[in-house]
Amino acid sequence: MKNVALVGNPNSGKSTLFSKLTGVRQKVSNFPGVTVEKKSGMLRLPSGDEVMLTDLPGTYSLFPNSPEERLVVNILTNDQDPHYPDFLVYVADVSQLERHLLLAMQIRQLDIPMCFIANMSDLATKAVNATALESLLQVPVVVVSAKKPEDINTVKSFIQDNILRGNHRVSELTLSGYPLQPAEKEIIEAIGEKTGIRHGYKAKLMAHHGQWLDIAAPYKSWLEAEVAKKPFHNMESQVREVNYWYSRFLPVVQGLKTDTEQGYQSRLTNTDKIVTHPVFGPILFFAVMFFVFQAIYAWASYPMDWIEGGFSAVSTWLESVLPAHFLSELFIHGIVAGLGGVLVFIPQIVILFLLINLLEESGYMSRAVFMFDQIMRKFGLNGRSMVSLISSGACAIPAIMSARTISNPKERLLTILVSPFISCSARLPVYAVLVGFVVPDVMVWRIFNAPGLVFMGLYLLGILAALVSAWVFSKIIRSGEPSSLVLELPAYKNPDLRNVWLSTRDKAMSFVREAGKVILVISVIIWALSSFGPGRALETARVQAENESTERALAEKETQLLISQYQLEASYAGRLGKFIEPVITPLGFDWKIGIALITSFAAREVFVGTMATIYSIGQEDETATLREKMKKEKKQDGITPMYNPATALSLLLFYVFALQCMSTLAVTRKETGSWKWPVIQFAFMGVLAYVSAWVGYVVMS
Amino acid sequence: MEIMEGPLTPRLLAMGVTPRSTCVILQKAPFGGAAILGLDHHQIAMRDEELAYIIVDLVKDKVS
Repeated sequence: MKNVALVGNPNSGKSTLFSKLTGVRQKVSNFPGVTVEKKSGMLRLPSGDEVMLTDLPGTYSLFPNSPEERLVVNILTNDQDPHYPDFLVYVADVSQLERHLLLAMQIRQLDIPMCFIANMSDLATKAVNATALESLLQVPVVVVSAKKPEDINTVKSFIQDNILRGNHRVSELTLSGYPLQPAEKEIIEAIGEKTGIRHGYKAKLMAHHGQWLDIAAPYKSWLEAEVAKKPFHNMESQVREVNYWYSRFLPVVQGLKTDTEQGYQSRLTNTDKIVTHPVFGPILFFAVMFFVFQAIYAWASYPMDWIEGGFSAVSTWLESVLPAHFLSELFIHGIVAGLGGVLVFIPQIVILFLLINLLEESGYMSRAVFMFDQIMRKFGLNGRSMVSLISSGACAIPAIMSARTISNPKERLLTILVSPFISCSARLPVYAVLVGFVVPDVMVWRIFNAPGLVFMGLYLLGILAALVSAWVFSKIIRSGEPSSLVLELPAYKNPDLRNVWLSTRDKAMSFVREAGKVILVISVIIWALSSFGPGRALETARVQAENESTERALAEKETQLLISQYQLEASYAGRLGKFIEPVITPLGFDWKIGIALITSFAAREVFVGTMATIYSIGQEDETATLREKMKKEKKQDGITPMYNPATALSLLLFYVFALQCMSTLAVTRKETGSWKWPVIQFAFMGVLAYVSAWVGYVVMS
Repeated sequence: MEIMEGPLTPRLLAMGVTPRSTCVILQKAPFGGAAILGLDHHQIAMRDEELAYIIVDLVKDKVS
């Protein structure tokens, strides 16, 4: 099957065209070895033949500035690359030909068969003369509007005609047309002799990009020495070349225009006067973000409840039909529960990405990045990090995934690392149980409710931790990419809803596929830890609980709760809790809290459930009853209450900072592509949690 | 408009910030540090450091 690639500048309408051409038969994956998203899909031509269509990342020129652009240059120069296209479909926006032809001119030097699609993104644009473009580029040109369904068929036949007939005109614009400087000529010849690459333009690109170009890899050190030795100035030569291409095509483009649109962009649109306004802009942004936050926080809770309810109904049903066997237990409490734990994130992921994609496609996001660039930059982050951090207030999982849109690798990594510091919705139940032990429910200055103030303090602490640690990491992590902001602000447009939905669907699917596995495995491990004990420990615990229950003449339900409590204590999780007790004693925690810390690694809210089991409380109204039980709990001396303000505060601080969430770890691993960063993240947040819990405990007691 | 030579020059050129075109600062970022540059056919947001690479001749004092 033929490999066909779409190339063009960002905002050329390439992605819209891609989704129109492939329909729902597209798939998003990663280019191997890099975190650059790859969109590919089958394109059925009118003849019935199929080709594999890949949407290459938007690129401004073959002198790249981002990992995405470097990838494109690598693919197009290396005919051994698995993604090397048999045929190129170049997409340019008719109203932006002054820029969109630059890359086309450069790519023409690579001698890959190609056709050119001049897309009228704005239906009001006057059609251009295809013949003039054809004679400039020496490739077939068609002028269409990707918005018109009939034009999509035109594009398909156009591609078919040109691929199947091998109908691409031979390039007349080889480098011979470009007046090579002696220094350029010298290095190109030297490279040709050394490497056997006689293709002048590829050799020139090797001279420019010897550091990272795949075809230059075997000669990397030789090239470096050679470029340093020869009077070849890399930057100067790039500028010269770009200027040359401009001088070739600008006269043609100007000849195409019938009306003078000069000065069209010399004023802000009315929308931008408000959207980027120094005062209203940020207000609008926070209003939009509040809406996004509200949507993931509140709306997602309904489908999440259905998913949780559904899974617990399925477990109950399975428990009633499956024989009491350890395999059934594993299936119900390990696998089914783990699956529920994966799927429960889907509503939040879907809602967040629907909204983010809408903002992105409409053109709003680049304005937001522009407005907040300065603030976020102080912390080593990016304007887009703002969106991730705010989304983290609902859940770090979709937030970390949304950092994908940050193109600078370092800024993206920092955003991923610090997002979990923002207090997410799963911390709320933990805060709710504990906050009452820190301060009494009284009013402060008549207007503030004391627990409410503590709540706010915890949220602020999270934000502070995120920003400060981003700053610290930004000083430690070496930057591969200089930070810059040269961002095109595309005209606002109506988002292509199908595009928005497809990319949202792909996000959810990739979460289930990749992070799901890790979550499932950890959830089975945690289940095993809390349901098995060494030897016959669990049996002994059951007998003990039953004896005690007979002695105290307890009802059936209370007996069951007592059995669960004793069995949890006797399990491996219980042993681990006791085992780590010496480590957590300085924080004011006992082994019971230790158990809850271990089990709540599955998800923070599990803390409440585990504490309920430890204190033999049923599932109904657990928070209130749990608080009562905890109030009565005494330390080993039997006099001092266990949950004094110091312990409770220490525990709260621990939960503000600690990465008590296996799903976050799984998603960080998925997004960074290795276990290195989740491990660093876990350790860093753990140490911070431990130290601040300790400080909190010491200060309060 | 002229572009000073620096690591970002090819980038700026490729994004349509080209010699002899006209440009105008349209909006400063709310918290400073960056601005929107209006060019003949499109608009680009840039940091002050990057704007420093662009040398202009004053054509008009103020665009109404």
